[in-house]
Amino acid sequence: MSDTIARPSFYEGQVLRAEDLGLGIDYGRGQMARHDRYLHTPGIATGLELTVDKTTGVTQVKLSPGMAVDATGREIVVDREETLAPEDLDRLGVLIPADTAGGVKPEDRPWHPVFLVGRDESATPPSVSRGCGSAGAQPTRTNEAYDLSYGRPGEAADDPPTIDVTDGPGSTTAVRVLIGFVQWDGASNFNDAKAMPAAGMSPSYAGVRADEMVARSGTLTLRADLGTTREKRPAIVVDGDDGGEMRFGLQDAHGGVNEAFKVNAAGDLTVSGRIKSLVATGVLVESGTIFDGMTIPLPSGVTQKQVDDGQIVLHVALTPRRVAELRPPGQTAGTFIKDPFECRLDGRRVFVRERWFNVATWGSPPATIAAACNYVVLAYVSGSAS
Amino acid sequence: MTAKKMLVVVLSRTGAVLGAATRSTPGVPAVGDLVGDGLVARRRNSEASVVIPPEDLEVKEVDYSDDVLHDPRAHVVDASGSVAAPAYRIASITSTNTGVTVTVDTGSPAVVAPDKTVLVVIDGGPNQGPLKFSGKTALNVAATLVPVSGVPPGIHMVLASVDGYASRLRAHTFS
Repeated sequence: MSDTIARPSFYEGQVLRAEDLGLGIDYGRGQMARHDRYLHTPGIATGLELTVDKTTGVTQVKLSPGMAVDATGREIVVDREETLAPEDLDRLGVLIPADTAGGVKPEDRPWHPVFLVGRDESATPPSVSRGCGSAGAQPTRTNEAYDLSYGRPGEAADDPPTIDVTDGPGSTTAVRVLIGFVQWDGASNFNDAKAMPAAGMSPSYAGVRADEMVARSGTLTLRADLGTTREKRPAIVVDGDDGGEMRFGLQDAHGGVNEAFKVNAAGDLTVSGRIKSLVATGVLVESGTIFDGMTIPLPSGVTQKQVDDGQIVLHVALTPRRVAELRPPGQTAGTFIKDPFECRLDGRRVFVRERWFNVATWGSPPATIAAACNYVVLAYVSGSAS
Repeated sequence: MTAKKMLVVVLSRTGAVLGAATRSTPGVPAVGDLVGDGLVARRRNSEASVVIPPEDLEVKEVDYSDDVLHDPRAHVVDASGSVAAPAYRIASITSTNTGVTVTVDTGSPAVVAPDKTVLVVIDGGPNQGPLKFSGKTALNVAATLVPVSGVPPGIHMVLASVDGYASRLRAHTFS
C-alpha cells in the first residue's frame, strides 16, 4: 500500500525532531528515484567499463568508476576503480561444467554476467558530543555502498520489483544492473572480460522514457555515442527550418550532419547512396530452359513468399523447345515427326510433353514423352509496374 | 571462355538425374527453387506421376548438354560431378506386395558392383505422400529385392534408381 507523499514544513520556534529532518531527506530521494524510474530506463549512466590488465603477468579484471541506475530508480555510484575478485565467481556457485572442462579453448568458455547491486550501509562517524536524550551510539550516516556479483551464463538483469508509485529508491530489495561479462580460465582466475562479447550480449545502458522530445532550438539531434567527440558519429537531425526536414549522416566536429539521406515535409527524399530494398524494385527477369515437372526459378532477389503475399507479380511465358532432335529418347534409328503436345504452367510448375510420330508406323498412336520448354519470367512489384 | 553450364536435379543417394534446367542467373539455386514441394516425374504415354520429395534431391551444376535436356533420366552425375549417360540402365522392375525387385543391365558375364544404393520411390496414392524404400546391390547379382510395405492397393508409379545406372519409371499394381 502506498503512502501519501509528504514534505516537511517548518515554523518559527518549532522543535525539530530527527523524523522531521529525515523526512526532508527522504522527500528529495523519493522525487529523484521516481524521476529516474519513470522517465528513464535502468542501466549504466556513465563509466563502469570492464578492462583486462595483464601487466603484472596475472590477469586482472578491473571496473572503472561510474554510475548506474537500477530499476527502482536508485543511483549506484562506484567512486573508485575496483579489481574484481575471481574467488567470488567461484564462491557464488555459478560456474558450470563448460567453465572447467578440459580440452576447451579459453576463448570458447562461457561468458558470465557481472552485476552491480546498490546497498545501504549504516555508519557512525566520530561525534564531538552526545545530544540530550540520545540513545547512545546510533548510526548517523547511511553509506550508499554497492556489491559486485556474478550470474550463470545467459542470466539477465533483474526485472523491476513490485513497487508503488510513491516509493523511493529500493533499499531492502537488491536489484541487479548488468554491467558486462567475464570469462573463467578453467582453473582459478578470469580469462577475459568484455562489455559485449557476442551478438545479443550487452550490458544495460540507461535510457529515456518519453512520448515527446522537443528541441527548443528547433533542431533535435539523436546521436550514437561512440566516443568523446561527436565528429564522425552517426546522427539523425530533425530540423524545423525550411518547412521541416529529417537528415541522417555522420556528424562533423561542429555538430553538422554530412547528409547520407534527407526527407523534407513534402516527402521529397534525397539519398547520396543506392536504395536497396528487401522487396525487389523495377522489373526483374529470369529465363532459360526447364524440364517437365520442375518449377520455374524466380529471378534473383524474389522469394515465393513475396509472390504469395502479393508483393510481387509474375508474368511467365513458356514456349516449346525447338531444337534439332531427330528421335525421341531411347530411339537410335528411324524417322520421326515431333509435335508439341503440352506446354503449360500450374503455379510455377511446368508440364511439358511432346508427341513423337513414327513415320514407319504412321497411323499408330504416337509416343507422348516428357520434354523441356523455354521460359521467361518477369517479376515486378505489385502496383508499381513501370 | 567459360563453358556453358546447366543445372540438373539428382537423387542425392544415387546421383540419378531426374530433371534439368538452365537459367540466366549464375550459381546453383536451392533445390526448392527448382522443384517446389517435389519433382513430378511422369511416365511415357501416361498421365500418372510420382512426386520425389525435395529432401531426397540435390541440384548440381554441370557442363551444358542438349542430350541431358532431351532425356534427363537417361543420365547420372558421377562422383567427379560430371554428368554422363551410363552404358547400363535398369532393365526391369517387378513387384509383389512385399517387395520390388530391381534388375540392372549387365555385361556378359554379369558385372555388378556390390553395396550400391538401390532406391525405390512409390507414389502413395491420393491420401499420402510418396513411399521410399532402399536396399543394396550384391556383387555380380543383377537383381536386388527391396522390401516394401504400406503400399495401398491399386496401380502406383514406381521409380527405381540404382547408383551408377539410369533410373526407370514404371506403373505397378499392388493388392
